[in-house]
Amino acid sequence: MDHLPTPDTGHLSSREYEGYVYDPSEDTFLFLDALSEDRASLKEMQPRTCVEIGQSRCGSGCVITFLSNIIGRHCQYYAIDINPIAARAAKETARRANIPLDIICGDLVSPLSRMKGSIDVLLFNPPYVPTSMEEYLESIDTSASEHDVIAAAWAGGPDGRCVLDRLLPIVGEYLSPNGRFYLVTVEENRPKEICSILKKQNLDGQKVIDRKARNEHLSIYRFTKRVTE
Amino acid sequence: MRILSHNMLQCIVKGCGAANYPLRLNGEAVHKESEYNEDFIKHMMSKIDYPALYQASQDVKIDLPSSLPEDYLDNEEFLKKIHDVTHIEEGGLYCNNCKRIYPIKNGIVNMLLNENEV
Repeated sequence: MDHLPTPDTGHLSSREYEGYVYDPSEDTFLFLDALSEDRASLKEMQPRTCVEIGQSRCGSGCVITFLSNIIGRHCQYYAIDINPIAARAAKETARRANIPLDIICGDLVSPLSRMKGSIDVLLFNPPYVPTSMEEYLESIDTSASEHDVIAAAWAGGPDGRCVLDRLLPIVGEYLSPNGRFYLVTVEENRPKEICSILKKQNLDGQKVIDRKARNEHLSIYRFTKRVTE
Repeated sequence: MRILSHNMLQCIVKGCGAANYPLRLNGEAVHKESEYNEDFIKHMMSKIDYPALYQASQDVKIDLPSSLPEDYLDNEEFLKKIHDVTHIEEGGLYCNNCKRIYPIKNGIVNMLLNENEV
């Protein structure tokens, strides 16, 4: 199997981004491995619209850039990030890889309400680390004078689900009839429960790949729409 | 922001109402070289809301036909023109209904809402 290049994110160590943007890390690389594993079926489905939700994390734009290397240029690519600096960094990653990526600064899929029913591949690496509610609320309070932007990329609140639980109820309505949703989770997020929530929206979840990295047990799940007669 | 993406965006302020689309576009159109992909553009055109695209192109002074040519799928000159309809780096999207402005800076649209707009 040919090796797909990891997108160039060298700019993240520049002064403009360092300390403001989450660097590609074990979870990012596992995400790339999962997409690589699924490359044959991703190509075959000929996606037309692919979206990565950042929530401070896609910052690097690394995952959707990698996806575009698999799928090719006949597709529109969007990345959404709540953090303006992360959005700018994603733009630079896409520019270096020469992919046509449009970046929008916004919260989850809210800017794309006209795309309901038409997203073929939706990617999300949420802030999944379980923290106290206080720590989570602090991480999203951008008005605080010593606001730690990196914390917003990982602090997930109780069960690491605070951000994810805002997206879960609407995943199904945004996906196209043969669309899929890829999600990064750790065990503490209770992936089985996530699967049963999405099952009610006719989405079947399957683990693509998992890995133990440091103190985390990471998994990438793929959710696909069940074909209804 | 690619001007073609204007078609996908609407005002998301809570309670803005049915006239939240299409947004008006403001800024200077910048041409960016990109490889012509016929398959991509044909597919885009089969789904696009042409009157909205036409309005956006008028807003930023790009010359497009006022209605979609009947033979558009075989009209290479037209398809190339659409493909080259290009980017806004600095400017904004503007809602005619509630007057909300979504600024575009460094080619990135900012659609983050304030607490009182959610």
